[in-house]
Amino acid sequence: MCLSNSDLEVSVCLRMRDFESSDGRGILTVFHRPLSTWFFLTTHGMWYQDIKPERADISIDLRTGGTTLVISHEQNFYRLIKAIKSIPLFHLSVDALVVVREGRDSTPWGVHSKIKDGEIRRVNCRETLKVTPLTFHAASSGIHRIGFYHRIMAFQQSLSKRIARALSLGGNIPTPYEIFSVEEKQEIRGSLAALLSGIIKWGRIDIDVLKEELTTSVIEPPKEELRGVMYLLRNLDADITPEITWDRGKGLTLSFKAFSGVRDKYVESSLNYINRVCLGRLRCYDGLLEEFEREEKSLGKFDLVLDFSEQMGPLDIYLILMMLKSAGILEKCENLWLIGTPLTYPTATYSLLYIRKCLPSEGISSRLVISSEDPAFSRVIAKRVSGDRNKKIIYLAAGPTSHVISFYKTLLEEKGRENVRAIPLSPHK
Amino acid sequence: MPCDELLKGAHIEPSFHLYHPDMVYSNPRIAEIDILLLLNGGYVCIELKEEPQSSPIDSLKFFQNGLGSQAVLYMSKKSLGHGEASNVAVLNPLIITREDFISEKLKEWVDNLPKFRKKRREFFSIDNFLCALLLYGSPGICNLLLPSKRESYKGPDLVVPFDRSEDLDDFIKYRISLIKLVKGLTRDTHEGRFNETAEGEVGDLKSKKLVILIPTLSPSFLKEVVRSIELIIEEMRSKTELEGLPEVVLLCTERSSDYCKKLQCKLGEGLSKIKSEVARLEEWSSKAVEEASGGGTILLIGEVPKRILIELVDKIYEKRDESIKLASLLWRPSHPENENDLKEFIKGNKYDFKSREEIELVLVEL
Repeated sequence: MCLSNSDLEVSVCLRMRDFESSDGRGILTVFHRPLSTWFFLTTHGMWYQDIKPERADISIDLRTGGTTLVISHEQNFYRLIKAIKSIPLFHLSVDALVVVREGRDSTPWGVHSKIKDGEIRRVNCRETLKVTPLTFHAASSGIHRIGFYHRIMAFQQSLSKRIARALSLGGNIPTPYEIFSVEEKQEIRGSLAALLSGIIKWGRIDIDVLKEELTTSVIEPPKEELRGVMYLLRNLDADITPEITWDRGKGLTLSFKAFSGVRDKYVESSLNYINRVCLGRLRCYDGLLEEFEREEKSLGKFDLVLDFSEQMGPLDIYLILMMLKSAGILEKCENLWLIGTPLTYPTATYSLLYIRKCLPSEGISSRLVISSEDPAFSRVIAKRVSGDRNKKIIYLAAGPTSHVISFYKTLLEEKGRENVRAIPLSPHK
Repeated sequence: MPCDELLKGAHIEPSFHLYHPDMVYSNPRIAEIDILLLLNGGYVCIELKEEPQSSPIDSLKFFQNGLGSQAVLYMSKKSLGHGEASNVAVLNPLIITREDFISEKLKEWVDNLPKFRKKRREFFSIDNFLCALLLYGSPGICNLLLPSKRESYKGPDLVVPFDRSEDLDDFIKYRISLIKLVKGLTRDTHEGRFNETAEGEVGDLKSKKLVILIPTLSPSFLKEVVRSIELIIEEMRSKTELEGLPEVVLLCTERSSDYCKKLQCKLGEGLSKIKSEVARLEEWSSKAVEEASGGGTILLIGEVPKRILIELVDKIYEKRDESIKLASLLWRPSHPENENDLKEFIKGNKYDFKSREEIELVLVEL
């Protein structure tokens, strides 16, 4: 990799906003530092590494969508490199990985690494954006179904406030990026760069690989939209913040003022593609507020059970909490059970961190549950979650088919029809 | 250290695959294990090879035991000749012979194999996840998810249901104890037992009528579905031999009617009682429950909209009709063909490990 002077202005760098968790117990140990959170997501929740790097940047080339992960470290240099080399980075896929040592002229990694060290020092991105660990992870995520979902998830997260406003939801719950003290504009630009880079790579995926997917929920790769996506990425300027509108029954629509004057069929089709893949699923929230409001009159203390789908993330938590608040029932919620499966467990855990940070510690108790498609296992979970027979449960069903069936069936058997309210979270109305 | 000493208290798990966590939908394998030797504080992966001296060329695997990278051991079926060694530069490619490895411990394990595999089949999704933790998980993550009894901190951060081991099946408890052993989280040898009888045996269909809901499917998945339903019908046919042919109803939408036709065409041969019906999604739950009344099974394949799933459960619950069963097609390890080979190998006879554990799509009652 050799970058010439003309290349210097064609990339943006993403850097995780630095933070240290104040509480080092339990789940929060995983999210002690930004890098440990990134390790957790990238290894599909198999690992965390409590190493503080001097620098961890992802450079996104705005011409090609290519990504370079640059990690530098001064202390315990070998420790970080060894960690990256030896742990199972299931979700990592960048075009180049460069490890550099700060503040030294020489490196113990031989001539080849020394040259790279020299090259990478000259990289001077157009801008460095401070983003959340989810967005950083999204930019480094693999080009497969789940990797693409993570990019969409990060972009959705960055639009939290705007989506809530479009849905006319009021309330003072902090957004997922606010708990990391990340600025909305930087998060939007960072996650959009990660998304567009992902779309470009998704557009080049081998179609035979996609045919082998056994699920219907695979997002179709872009075709003629690709040209427009390239245009958007190259023009990712400072004032890129989109507007979101909501048409009841039809869903949410995103538009960029910056591109409103561009009369180009490729740009238009690419914007339609982004709308479809990023906001299409969110139709499932059309009408959920009304469902909560209908419950409000007869509802006493209740428990909320959220069965996580593979496309859900922190935005979903934010919207659900905002809707509970708007319907006036958030205070009545005693327990919030976040149910992940082996597939969704990393993003469900990350979402739990958000819940813990945005809700006061007293009041709602939030728990992470790991369930599975095995009925013999999910029945045990449903019995555990059922608790007091007379307390009402609202079950938001978005998990895998077999899990929803066996879980809901057991809830009914345990609590009776009058104490269980199941609401399907599905874009198909 | 003598082999028998090393194997004392060890758990040996032969011949299985580990799948990527999205194996619910697709199944690229991420690890093929010939023999996994689980020890206190680590594990050893053993490859069985005809010619282990050259095996690193086609099989260069490294695994994690949570403490550092671990090279694979290669096992030769015959004693190595004088001066024979690996010609390939690989970190400590230790080669051992079968004679060194065979011990009373391995022989004892043969008796546990069928019941262990039966339970793994029943809890496959969660067991695959636990196996991933076993191979790849850091001790920190394992301790977070699967806290030990001695864990001083108790609170909302403990992950359900692993915080209450009394709720868990003996097999899951046993697997968790193995993870703790390998990750050095406990000094005890593995605790617990797994039951000899598995409840809810997969693929055991007692109904005479099958109502299949067919949403839009990917072409690859349709192929798998056809193969699986053929086997289910064959099984039904053998069970209802004296009472006539099983009855199959295919329920689809306009959009999925082509898939339905393909399925009907494939299944129709030799099956006189097969019919298909196109219905709007809004009608699916009513029609399915009506058709399955009196002892049928409603089989859900692929991604059926969540609304339909809720309606189905509600309708069956309201009818109080316990004869209607709900089922889905899930990935499960097939009964391995090489189980006898493995037993022969442990007894010290010939072996052939060409086929390891594979997965198949089977009917599971929900």
